Amino acid sequence: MSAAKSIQGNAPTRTGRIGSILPGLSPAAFYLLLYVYLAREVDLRLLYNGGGLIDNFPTFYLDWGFLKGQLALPAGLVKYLCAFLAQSFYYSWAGAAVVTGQAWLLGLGTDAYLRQIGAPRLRILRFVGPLVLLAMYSQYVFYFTQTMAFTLAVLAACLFLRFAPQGAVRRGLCFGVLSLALYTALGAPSLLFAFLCAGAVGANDYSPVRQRYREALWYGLSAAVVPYLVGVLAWGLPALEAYVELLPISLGTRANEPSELMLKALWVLYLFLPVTVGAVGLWNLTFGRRRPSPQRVPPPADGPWTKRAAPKGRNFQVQNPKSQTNPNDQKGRKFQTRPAGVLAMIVLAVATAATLYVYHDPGLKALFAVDYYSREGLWSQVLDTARRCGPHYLICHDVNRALYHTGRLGDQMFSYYQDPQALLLSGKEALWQKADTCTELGLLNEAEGALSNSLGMFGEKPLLLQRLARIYLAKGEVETAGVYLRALSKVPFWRRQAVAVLTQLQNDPNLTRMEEIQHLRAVRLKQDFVRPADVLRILLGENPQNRMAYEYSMAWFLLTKDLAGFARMFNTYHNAVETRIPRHYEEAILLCQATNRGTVELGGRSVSQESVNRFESFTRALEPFGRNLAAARQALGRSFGDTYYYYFVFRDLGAR
Amino acid sequence: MRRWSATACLLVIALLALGGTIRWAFARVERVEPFVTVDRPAPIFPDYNGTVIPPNIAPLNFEVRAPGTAYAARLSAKEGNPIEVWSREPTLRIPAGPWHDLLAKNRGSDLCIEVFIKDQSGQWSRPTPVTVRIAPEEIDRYLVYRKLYPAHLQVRDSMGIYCRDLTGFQETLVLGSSDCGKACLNCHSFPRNHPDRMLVGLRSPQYGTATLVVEGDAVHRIDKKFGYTSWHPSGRLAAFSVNDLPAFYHTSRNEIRDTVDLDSFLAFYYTDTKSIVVVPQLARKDRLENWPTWSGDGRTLYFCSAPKLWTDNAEFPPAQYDQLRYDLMRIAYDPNTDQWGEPETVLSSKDTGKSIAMPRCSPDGRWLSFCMCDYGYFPAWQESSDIYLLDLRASAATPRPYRRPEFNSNKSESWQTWSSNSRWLVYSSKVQNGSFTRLFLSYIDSQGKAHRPLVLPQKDPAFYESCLQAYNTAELVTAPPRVTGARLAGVFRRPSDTALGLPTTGPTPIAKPVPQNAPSVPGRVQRD
Repeated sequence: MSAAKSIQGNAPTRTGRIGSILPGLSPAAFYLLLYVYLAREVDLRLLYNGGGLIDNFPTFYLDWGFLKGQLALPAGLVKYLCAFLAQSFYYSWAGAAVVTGQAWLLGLGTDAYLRQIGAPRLRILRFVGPLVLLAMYSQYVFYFTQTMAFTLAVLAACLFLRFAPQGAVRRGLCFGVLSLALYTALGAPSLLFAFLCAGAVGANDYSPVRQRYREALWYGLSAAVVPYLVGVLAWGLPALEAYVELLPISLGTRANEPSELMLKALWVLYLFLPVTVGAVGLWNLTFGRRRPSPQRVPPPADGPWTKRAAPKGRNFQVQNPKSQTNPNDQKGRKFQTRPAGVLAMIVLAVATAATLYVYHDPGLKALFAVDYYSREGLWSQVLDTARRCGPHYLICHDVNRALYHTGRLGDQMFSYYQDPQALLLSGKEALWQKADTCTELGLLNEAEGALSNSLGMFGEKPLLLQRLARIYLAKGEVETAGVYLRALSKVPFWRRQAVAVLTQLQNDPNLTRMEEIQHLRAVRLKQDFVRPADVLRILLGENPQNRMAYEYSMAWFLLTKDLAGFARMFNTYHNAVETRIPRHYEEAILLCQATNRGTVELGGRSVSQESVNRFESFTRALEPFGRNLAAARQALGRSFGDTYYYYFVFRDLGAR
Repeated sequence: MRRWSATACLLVIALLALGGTIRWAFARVERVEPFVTVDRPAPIFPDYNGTVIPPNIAPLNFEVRAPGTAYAARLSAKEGNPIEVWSREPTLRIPAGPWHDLLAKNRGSDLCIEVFIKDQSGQWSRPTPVTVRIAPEEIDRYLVYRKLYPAHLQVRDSMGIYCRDLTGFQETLVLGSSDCGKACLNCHSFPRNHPDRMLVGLRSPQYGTATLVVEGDAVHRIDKKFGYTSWHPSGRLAAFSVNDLPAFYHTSRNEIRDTVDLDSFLAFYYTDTKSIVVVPQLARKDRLENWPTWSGDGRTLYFCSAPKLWTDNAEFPPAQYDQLRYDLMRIAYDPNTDQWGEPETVLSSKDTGKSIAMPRCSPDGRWLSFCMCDYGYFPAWQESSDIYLLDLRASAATPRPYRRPEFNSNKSESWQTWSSNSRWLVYSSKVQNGSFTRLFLSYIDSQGKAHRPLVLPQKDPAFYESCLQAYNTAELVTAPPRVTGARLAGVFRRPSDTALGLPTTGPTPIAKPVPQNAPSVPGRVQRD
């Protein structure tokens, strides 16, 4: 009997109605808010796109060969299932629905298990799993397979405890078969199934101790043996791996190793139920026998599992007196009584707030979002997001790209955080992010190298396949491009695009009508060399119309404060690509003149009066500080922080 | 409960019956007569026409690349029952049992493949039949090769050494990089096509660099990096190169990867004493010795050698990297006394104008296959690389006569291996789709003529069209490797049980890293 019905029957008052609605409302509200948070705030499509930061997001092909290959792997079934479900992350709303569904199942399983072990008062713990999921997705890590394996193990334990046969031998056999099947499907997380079953049997205090312990021992023994039988003997895994596959201990999921904080969250997920059952067992052992049990069911001759009166069939469950519904005692049933329900809601709200406080990281989201927006060419979103977040090497790179594409690189680049090494990502290995910029510049080989290595690191991600196909098309290696496109055509959501290009290739092998490819062929670096060289200058030498190479060259000179180089580049190429003088160039020209570091030939052009006035204001404002540049940096930041001369003067002091 | 069980049983039986009916309905063979003959080659993929196939090869499934509503094929030869297959899809799969029967009865004869295509109007047509020759000699049943992404400079879980049963499509993992701490798996080698002994080189960020030596059922780890390795036919010793082979990138060439042998020499691992020996003649400071391979009788070691053209090790890559051309050399060896002769040139790069690499001797001692490319030691990354055959029994004229088999293409051919009966050459080629090496099987007759090869057959004939991994370092063996998977990986993960040192010279100091002062530069990368 449900609590709501019980209250409706007994007290059809207004407070009673509210009381009956509240218990159902609060979990519903929790899951609804979880969904909204995942879909809107976390934006799960950012995980699908990965940002070159997630190396364990699964590849999925709509292909029998892929299915067979996955099923041949240890724990292949759950890996395949999760790879399939993970494709829903392509759309944030769909991914959020899948994760919320998983959270709900996790809560449901935990709730059922807590009732099975006779701890309905601890039902608030059913939100631990969903909160851990909340923490994980807030941190943009992908432990979907691990958490799904956990969820399925908990559900399996509940179903076993609920529906297992009555006879001890048959139940034991059933357990053995289920253990084998679960290990094959889930890997080591199935150990949790055995542990939870053993715990449930051991924690209950209604059957003889020896009988309970014998059964629990059998479960524990099977947990020890099954991984060896399946993992070591059948799959040929190393012994340790057979016992930890897909458990948090085996994690190595991101290019950057998962943080301690994240691992702790995963451990909480895996350990809270075993710890709870242990505590309950200990409690029962210590206090259980002293307390009279009003509805104690005498243990049947063949064990603690008794057949329920109705309905017929698959109706076996642990008959735990504490889990029996007593119409007069509503404590422990959902958020039954108002004080308990309200308290539980408060606890849940506090726990949720605490989780978000610890794990929610807007900076991390910005990193993923900027990468995604730049990959999609959503330049205004790149700039908006970057404006709201702190300095970051990769974001800086994408900001410059966005500024270039919106024609503002020479005007606004110093309105954002700048790092010379971020311009072409030459300071750190950031292969994923490097590829698009190199492609656009015409450095197709460098882009190909970055993408190929990313393929080795991150697996066959559709984005990488698509980018590699584009590079090979631009290089005229049509057969190689075809291999990538045909592979891409098996990936959900990418098929149409891949088939369209393949069809176009059949009709027009040179892709003469494909503007993007023709452009890439035009800007492609033609000179072959293997030694360090100034590639931007060479690109411009080969094609003075390569606007991106010019703007990036100029940006490089500005960032490295090489005014002489800036002047040379301006004098040689500016007229070929530009009709006006961007603001930062004007500021650099004024600096050239002021410092005598290079002669800029303006031809018929001139620096705008506004720039001249502002530069004069800056020099006047700087003068009083003398050599106290630190103080000057702080004082002038507000008025001149977005100017090149501010960067030029204060860069070495850490100016952003 | 009984009623439930009975219902469940009935349901299962009903489902099986339904499945069987559907299968029967869709699988029933249509009559292909009458048909019209069309005077054009049968559009099958892969194109097997004119190939010579091993009599023990897996069924050559193929795809008919022509529009149609149904497809059929009839495979017939002089002896035995013809095989008829039919499908509504263009992919035709040949049943293994009848296929092997047909091939076994017709060794040395032709196999005729007639293809029938039904058009929209219901009319069947038959293009010109495809003819393949069944060779009299079998190929070794197992092929051990490495699969990896083309740019394997970053390894995660994707690299593996696999063993393929050539009589079917079963492929088993010998060793995977994921089992070895994301290790890069280097070349593997066996003596005389026997898997009793095996050497595998590994390099892992977690477990270090090592070579696994398999002798029978025993495996041990040597904490030394063996380069390119060749077992003596006796299995008593293995010759290997010690190299410093960093990779670098080209900025514009289609094949972006390149590498140079900065310094190298040859060394020998003796299995009985578990020791490494360096022969001074094969470890000269002024030369780069590489790619050792034993002759069939084990009395001659062939290898490649080039003069070291640079003295300044600080520059990378050396300015002369594209002028480095290797000669084919040999040195006599007496297995009884363990005595070495003096190196002599077999084929000079000055005579060929090209660089020689990857020599392999046929086990019968008759042929020596090798690669030639424009420069360098690593033909797999040279589009100009082709495979050549040298008749070792021909007169020792200078230069020795060598031939270029017709199977070569304008893409890179490399990584060859001989079958134990010296009739089959398996090699890697990028001819199909540019960047991805695939394995090809070519029959070499007693006159040294290399016949039209066939690509390593796959169950799905279109498999290679979307396969993103490259196949290389193939080795034919008569039986599957005895020790695989977890055992090999387990030994690799444990500390070495064999401490070995290189007794004499080592490669010259590694070149300094490239300064990164330019905005975007190609640079030195560690190759796996």
